[in-house]
Amino acid sequence: MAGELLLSVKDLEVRFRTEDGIVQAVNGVSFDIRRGQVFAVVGESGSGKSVTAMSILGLLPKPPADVTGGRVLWRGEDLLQATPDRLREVRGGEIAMIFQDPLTALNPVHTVGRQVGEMVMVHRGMNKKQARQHAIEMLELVGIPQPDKRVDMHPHEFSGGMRQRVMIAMAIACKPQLLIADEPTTALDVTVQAQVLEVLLGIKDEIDSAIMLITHDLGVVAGMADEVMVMYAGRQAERGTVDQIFYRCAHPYTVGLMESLPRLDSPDDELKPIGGQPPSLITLPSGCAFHPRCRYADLQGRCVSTVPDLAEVDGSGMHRSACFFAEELIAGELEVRR
Amino acid sequence: MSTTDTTMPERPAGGVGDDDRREVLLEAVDLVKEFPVRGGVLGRTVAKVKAVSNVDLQVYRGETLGVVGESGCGKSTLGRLLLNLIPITSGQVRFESRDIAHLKPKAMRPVRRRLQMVFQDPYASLNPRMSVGDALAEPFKVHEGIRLRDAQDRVQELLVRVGLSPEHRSRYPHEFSGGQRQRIGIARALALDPDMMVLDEPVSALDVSIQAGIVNLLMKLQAEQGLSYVFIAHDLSVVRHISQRVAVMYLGRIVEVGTRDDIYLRSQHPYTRALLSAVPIADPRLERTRKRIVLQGDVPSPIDPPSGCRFRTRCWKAEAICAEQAPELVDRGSGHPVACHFPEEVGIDVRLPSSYGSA
Amino acid sequence: MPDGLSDDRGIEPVGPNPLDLPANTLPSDDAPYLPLDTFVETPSVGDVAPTDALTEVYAARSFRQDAWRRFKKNKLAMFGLFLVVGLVVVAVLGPFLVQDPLAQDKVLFRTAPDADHWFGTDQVGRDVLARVVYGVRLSLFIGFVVVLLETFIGITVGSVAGWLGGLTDSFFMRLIDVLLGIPYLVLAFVLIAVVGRGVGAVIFVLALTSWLTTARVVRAGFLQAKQYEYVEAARAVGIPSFRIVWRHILPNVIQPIIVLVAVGIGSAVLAEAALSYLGVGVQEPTPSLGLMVSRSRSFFSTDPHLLLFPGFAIMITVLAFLLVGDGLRDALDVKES
Repeated sequence: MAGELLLSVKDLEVRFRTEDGIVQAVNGVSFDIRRGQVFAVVGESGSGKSVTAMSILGLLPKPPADVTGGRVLWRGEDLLQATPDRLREVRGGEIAMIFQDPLTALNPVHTVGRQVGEMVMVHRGMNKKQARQHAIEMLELVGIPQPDKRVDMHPHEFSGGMRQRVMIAMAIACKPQLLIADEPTTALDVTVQAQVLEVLLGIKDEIDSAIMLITHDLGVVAGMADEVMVMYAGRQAERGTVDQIFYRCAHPYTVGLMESLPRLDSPDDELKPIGGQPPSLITLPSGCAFHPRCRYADLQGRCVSTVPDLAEVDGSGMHRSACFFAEELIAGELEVRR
Repeated sequence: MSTTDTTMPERPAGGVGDDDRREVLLEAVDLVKEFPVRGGVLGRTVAKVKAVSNVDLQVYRGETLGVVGESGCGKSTLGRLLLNLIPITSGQVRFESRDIAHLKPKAMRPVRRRLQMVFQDPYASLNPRMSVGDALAEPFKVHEGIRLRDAQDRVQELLVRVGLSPEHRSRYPHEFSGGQRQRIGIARALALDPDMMVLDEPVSALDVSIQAGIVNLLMKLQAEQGLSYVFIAHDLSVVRHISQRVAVMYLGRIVEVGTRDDIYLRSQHPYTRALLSAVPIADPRLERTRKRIVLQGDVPSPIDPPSGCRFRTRCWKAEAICAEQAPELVDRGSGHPVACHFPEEVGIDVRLPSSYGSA
Repeated sequence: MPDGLSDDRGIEPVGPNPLDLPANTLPSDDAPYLPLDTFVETPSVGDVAPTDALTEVYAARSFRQDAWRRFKKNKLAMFGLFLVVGLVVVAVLGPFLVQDPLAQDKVLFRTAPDADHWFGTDQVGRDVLARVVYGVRLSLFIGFVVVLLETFIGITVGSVAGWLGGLTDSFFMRLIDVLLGIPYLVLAFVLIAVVGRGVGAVIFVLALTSWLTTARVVRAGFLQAKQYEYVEAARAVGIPSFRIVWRHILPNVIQPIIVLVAVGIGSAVLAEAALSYLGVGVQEPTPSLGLMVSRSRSFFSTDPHLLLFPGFAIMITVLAFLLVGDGLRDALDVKES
């Protein structure tokens, strides 16, 4: 990856204090995002993928959330140490976020033009007239027809797909260098999803930024991502280029995800669900958090006793897996132990 | 190899041409449903949402009929109409050749137990204040007069059949995860040994690794007792996996219906093509070479649908006739019915619809 | 894991947790290691696709336990509950401990509190403590009975209107609108003129004028619950309407009613006192707090204790139930999943 290093998260650790105990939501996550890249974070409910994204911008409510360790380096500056003023500057200005549900994320009483324009008034000090003009340009950029008319309409007058475009217009209003998109198309129909993803990819090149894409949809990841991080129980299970993750799975959890997914182009492959229960984040299993559900786990050995590091596999430098048996798994030599 | 391998059902055959020989279990004839939109001080009907318009559809015994379409296409409404859960506006729903859409509640009761439903949201479809055991025993009480307490053996058996533990019966819905709740919903539908189930987006609220377990369970149950399913979903991959026949809906109408391969390999309606091309496939190399038909605009309002063909406003092939005349859902030479004046040619792999680019 | 819903002792807290952890982040009693042969057949668990970061961490848990936990944290509400319990004890056990509230001492009129008569005696020589204790007893009795009737009428009317809808609904709602438009004292005076005076009459009048809010709340709950998927699910299994209403809707619209019950007892106590004070309620010689206040007002400058003791008793009783009601409202008001 040649692009400039924008974001570097190191050993991030997030805890939620509850009266039942401490929820270990994110446990030592590290990754880099470079300019021009689409970096996908994949995982199921409770994997910590959204918490990771929100802690980058300090958006988690404290209490109960508490970032207990690690660093979030935004172009060398640690955002975890930043002042509230500085954070506000970064949010929306340098890093912008796109949420899943555009209806709740947009204010129903203001016109979309005002909401898009507000960003540049706050961050760029534009006046009202300039902001409105800028809003029209942004709406045009995300493919909203008749932007000069639509700019004065309210969110409820837009369809779901159009609202998500408005959200994207808001997010890119200040030409941020990183867009964090948290399940941006989960609430949308497939034909609209295709439109929105196309807009997102186009925008990324237009404003020369990077995208951190948080999703559970492996199809979307396959079509969008350059690099993928798979999360399980607040830890990284595997990280690599999109081809490495899809064609040379080096973690049993990733394998499990792929095998449980029905594919449009191979309908007769049998679906294999991952057995067992997702772990409690309060009392994580010892060793590898996936071992109670893992078909390959060595229940007498390291899988139970030691937390595996995210170690390089394949000697490629890019591909890393938190499985003791990653090399064997890739080589297809790993035996199913149960 | 996991243990599910041995219990995986053989997929029932469902080829073209079989239709005549197979028994029609449930049939919709010219089915229409319009919801009034009330407004004004007096609550008068000011408009009508045309949720389902002139739908003809057959469900054969023992098959899975997938119904796909995007939100607002009327597929969930259709599912409820088929079960007589909401009153129809006009048309007929025939169960074993008998119209059930106009039956009184009492007369409907014996039919009701043979037609069941599984709902989308496993959190909302279970009464939070009823134990799982009571919820599952309720159908026995209502239909067979068995007391809740005496039905516990059958409840336990049901729980085991859907892959839960018999001890779970004394628990309450909030103690279960989404996937487990969906199994409870399936057990409830299964309790009275129905002939057919309508499944309304049964897995769309679940994580993928959980979805797979539910899909496998449904296929196993079907193989065991010859159930018919109407599987309503927006996820085309899941529908292709589980269905023998598929109906595609757009804005209240069925635009194309046929066997699974008719729809996924030989689709002729432009909307079906666009829908299929938009589904992302978990295969990066394939995704890089695929061309998408990106539809322009949004689905029009069902209150005031376009004249003629309802898809014409987003269709790249639309001509004058499309606005004037609604295309009939008839076989146009491909062996399956398509409602389009200008159907696509057969023989193009839907994964690579390269004959046309972005419209 | 105790199931907080079936078990009446379910109000026991199982560890305070206002954050509502999802079931799958709680330590589960399912064994972490599954037998090998059932490995894949074991029910998979998982949750709905995440909507935001917080739903990854929080989800629903036993509602009643949470409500009780929230209630316990509310000091004022707990104080109210303490008062309610105290008042009930006084009402139940008090009559065994105090003197005869009707016995008149021929010598001691309007005496100040002393060792024999802790609250003094009234204008006809009766023991004020005994009369306050009996008064509290009567107030609570009237309060409970009125609320029982009010709730019964309210739930019945609200259920019928909410479930049937249409014309029935419109009829009842307009009726309620009209009745709510008339000040309740005016309504009470008219009714008293018809049915006469006394404890029974007070209960009748109060019950008849107080069900309106309950009915409205129940109806609103029905309109909402009719949309719930589990109600539709019940219909899909062929469950008859009456059973759906009884087993599936009512238990789920009952929470606001619990609040209304607590507040309603306080209001009924106050209303009874007001009617008795105005002379149209409970009649002499029955010991009623409102009546005592009314009879002693002309002696207030010389013997304030005659008014203050029953006055405080009314205040404490009403306050206790209002505090509990408020606490319940806060504890239950959170939208249930």
